Amino acid sequence: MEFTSLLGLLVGCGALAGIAYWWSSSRGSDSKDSGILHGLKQALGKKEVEIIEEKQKVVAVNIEDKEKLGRESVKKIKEIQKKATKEINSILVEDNLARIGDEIDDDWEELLQ
Amino acid sequence: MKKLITWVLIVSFFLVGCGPKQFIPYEPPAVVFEKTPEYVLDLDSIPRPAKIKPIYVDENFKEVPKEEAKFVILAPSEYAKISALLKLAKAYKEIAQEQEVLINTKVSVINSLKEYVALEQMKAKEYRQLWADSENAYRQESYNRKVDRAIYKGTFGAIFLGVILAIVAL
Repeated sequence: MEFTSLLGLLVGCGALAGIAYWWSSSRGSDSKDSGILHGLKQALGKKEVEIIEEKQKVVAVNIEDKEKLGRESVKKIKEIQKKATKEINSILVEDNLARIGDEIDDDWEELLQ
Repeated sequence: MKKLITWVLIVSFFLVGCGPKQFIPYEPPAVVFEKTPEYVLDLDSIPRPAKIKPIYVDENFKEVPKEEAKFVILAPSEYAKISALLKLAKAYKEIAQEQEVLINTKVSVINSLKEYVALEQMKAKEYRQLWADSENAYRQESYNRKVDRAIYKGTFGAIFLGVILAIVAL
């Protein structure tokens, strides 16, 4: 084999190695870029999830507050029942007609409101 | 030999230390709702007066049968029953008004829960997107590595063949 052919073969191998190096390094750079993009997407997604969770926290507190109000209402209803029981028991043993009459007047007025 | 083992250990230690950072998933905040007890309205707890027993009288206030009566007379205990009935009606009215507040509170809770579910769905969608992004990134990276390995092998093979050819030619 002539020297020029041998040189050509070696240069060819070198060029091939060079192209392979350039190719892999450019792919490596692409991989780095896509890695950065992926990181950015993940960070944005995480932020979005955190925003949603903050909103959910607000809603959860709102629900708890409403539940408290509901419990207060149930308590009030029980108080109304207790008060009515006391008043009814008291009036049923009353024999003072004037007092009964006054009570009827007052309650009737309240009912009409 | 001892020296070699020590070096192998040191190098292994550094190689392990240089491994990728472990991914720790984000811990979502715990939201726990207390169980709401069932609402029971026990109206039997309020006493109900017995049936009224009026005395039927005519125009001379003489007791007569109901059909011939012009007026009714009530004993104080019977008159008190009317007052008791009014008090009962008043209590029912107050309970109904308070129940309106209670029902509206529950409606508000239901609406808030609907909002919560909608947010949960949005979150699930977002997590799904994150998962898809991660999976796609992993697949791309895996594919790139596969292609790289093929290129390396091909290049190395070509160089090897060239060198062999050159040696044979010499």
